[in-house]
Amino acid sequence: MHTAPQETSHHAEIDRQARLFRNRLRETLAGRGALKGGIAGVWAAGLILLAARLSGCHGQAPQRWLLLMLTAATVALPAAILATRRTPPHRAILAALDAAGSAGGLVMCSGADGAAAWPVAVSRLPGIAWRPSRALGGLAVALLFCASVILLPTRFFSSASPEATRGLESLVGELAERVAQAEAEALLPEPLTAALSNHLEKVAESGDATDPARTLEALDHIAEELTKSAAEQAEALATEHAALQATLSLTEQLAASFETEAQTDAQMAEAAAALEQLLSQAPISPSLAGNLLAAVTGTNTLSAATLQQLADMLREAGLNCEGQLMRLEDLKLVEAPACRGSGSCTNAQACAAALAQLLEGSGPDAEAAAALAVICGKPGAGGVSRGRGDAPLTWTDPSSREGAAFKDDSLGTAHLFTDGQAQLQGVSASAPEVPDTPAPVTAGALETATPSKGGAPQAPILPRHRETVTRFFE
Amino acid sequence: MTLPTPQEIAPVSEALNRTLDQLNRMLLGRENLHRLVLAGILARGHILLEGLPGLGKTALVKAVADIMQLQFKRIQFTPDLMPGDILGSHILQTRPDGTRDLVFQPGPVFCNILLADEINRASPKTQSAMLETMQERSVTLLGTTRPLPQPFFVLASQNPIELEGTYPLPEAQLDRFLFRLNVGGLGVDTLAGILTGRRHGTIPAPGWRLSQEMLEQCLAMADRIVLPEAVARWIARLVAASHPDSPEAPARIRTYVRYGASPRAAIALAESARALALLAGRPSVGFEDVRTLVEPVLNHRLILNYQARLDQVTPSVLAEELAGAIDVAGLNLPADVEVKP
Repeated sequence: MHTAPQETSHHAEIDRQARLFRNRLRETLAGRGALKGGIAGVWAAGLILLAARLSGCHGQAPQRWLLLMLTAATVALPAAILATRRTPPHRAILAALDAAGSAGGLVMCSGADGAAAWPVAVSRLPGIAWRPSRALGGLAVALLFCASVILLPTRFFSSASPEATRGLESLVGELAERVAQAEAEALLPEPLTAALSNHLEKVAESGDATDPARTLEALDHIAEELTKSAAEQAEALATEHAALQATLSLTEQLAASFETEAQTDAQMAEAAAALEQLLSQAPISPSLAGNLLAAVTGTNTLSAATLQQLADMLREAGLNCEGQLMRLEDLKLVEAPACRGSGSCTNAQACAAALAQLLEGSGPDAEAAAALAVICGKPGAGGVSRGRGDAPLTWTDPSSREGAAFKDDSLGTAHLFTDGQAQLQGVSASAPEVPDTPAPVTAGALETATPSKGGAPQAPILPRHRETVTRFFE
Repeated sequence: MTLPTPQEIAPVSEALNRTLDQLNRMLLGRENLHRLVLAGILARGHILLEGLPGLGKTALVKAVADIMQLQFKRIQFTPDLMPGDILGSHILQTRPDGTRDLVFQPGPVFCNILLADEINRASPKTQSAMLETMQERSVTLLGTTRPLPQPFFVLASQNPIELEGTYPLPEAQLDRFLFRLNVGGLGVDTLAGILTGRRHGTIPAPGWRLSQEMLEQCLAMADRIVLPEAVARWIARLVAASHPDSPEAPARIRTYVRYGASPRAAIALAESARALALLAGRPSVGFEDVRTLVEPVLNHRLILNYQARLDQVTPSVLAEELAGAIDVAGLNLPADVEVKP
């Protein structure tokens, strides 16, 4: 087929116009695809950020914006490339140009033989109108969603409620008050109370209820430290009180013996040495021990006045111990009074015998002091793992039955088929379904139960559950 | 695909335009109708003219036959008209030697242009004989097939009122007409022109006539008009979308159309579009040619449902809407992207 040069140039011009229009159309479709892909990307990024923030992985706001832009770009680019695949083929472009210019089919036939004799020109390319209002609306909604996910404070994404925040505040306040009182009344060592106060301040600042479990754990730790220290302090006070009581009894016995009969100097020196040894070995504070020893050793020989002065000092120190223990109880730092029932020795005879044993130097001093304390009627130091069997029983908050209660279960009915005493209750129209082998009788829920050796089932209460348990019992 | 040269098309186009001018001069105020009738003749199709009495349907057919110097016959259809009355019949004749023989006497259908006036008044038996002749362009009687003279066109008329005692054409027979043209009323200026220029409404004689050879050249040239693939595809999509179950059918087509157009409609669109392009002096069919012809080609081929009657929706309106709803170039663009001329 011979093609004239004029025909070729005419066809080339039409082709050039068609390619130009096709490129414009492709650009429009790519832009549209990118916008739609961007919208999808923004939604995807928003959902990812929402999921991340709900799961506690928050990050920084600039990082969130960066993630949003990266996701949108990642989705928009392939979408734009895919959208260009919808670009119409060349013959459809020619048809569009023909229809737009009302060329009567001459543009479409520009490649046919003899087309050069029918010159037709595409004077103006048709316009491409894209109405992106809906897509832009969708983009605005998606951006709004993402912005809210990115910019909202962390507390909106946690399950904490204002009630929970208030509950935490009250817990912190209550604990801080107890620590402050203990510090003010010197019930606990000052470094410990200062450290606990500092820790409580930090918890109050950072504990904004975004992570209640964490805050509750911190509070539990502080409360445990406080209680532990108070218990140790109470134990030390109780021990000191017992030793003081024992020494007081001995002092009163000596004073009574001085009044009834005259003592030799040697006896008096021996009694003074015993008192000095008892005071120096007694578990009392060094300052008090120093004062008491100074009262004993100030004079070379014991006198009734000296013993009376010592007895007064011991009585005063004992009362001081009792007061501190009662105060610890008042502040709920200890659960049971460590010195309940103390204050005076009710078993003077046994105390004297023990004192004589102590004076004779038989047995370890610590055991002798403990024996003295027992004889004096102190019911034990209290606490969970210490104390005697007759220590007072202390009831704390009840435990939850959740997870500890037995699930209702029906017992096996196989024995009904084997029981000869079974009675006919009715006749079924269909054949009865009797198993070939009767099911073994099981013990139901008790089948897997093991002997607890007298112990009750225990369900540990996690710190995060305490509020719930408390509310349940309230 | 070779386009006819301008030198080939120019004389044919000139002759057709002179024919059109003569028609417009003889019959005032019907330029568009005349163009469509001429396109129908060039497409070798039959035309159904529908309009009230006295609007010039018969005059139009007579004028066409006069200008084209074609043999013209007219049949006034009545309920008692029999097929033999239009096709012809065998007559027993006695020869000079005394023997007798059956001699075929051709009916009025043996002509070039046949005016079937008020075709809906004939019985279905006669209508079917007539329509079979239109389709086959031949008459078969007693086992003998006789071709009709070429070219052969039927221009039928139908009165949309006074329907008592009429036999409306079935859809299958309507489908055989290339166009159904509605002959409407005339404007005041046209009527005034008729009153002042025509005594007793006499139609003037044509000042120029189309020769038989030129008519044959016109018909041959119409066959050489190129139908681009994109236009053919648009015609196919139009016809396919006229069916309510088509995925590309517009909503109103789905609502109001019971049956869409047949493949014969697509062929009619393509052939008449070629004729229209030739009338415009072009070697190829454009989308605008098809758009012009969608209404006359499809308006009697869309079978509407009862809902359309209730809503007073006509096939012409639906055909126009269909042409506007289907994207011509098949760009298959998203809904929010549009190509504006």
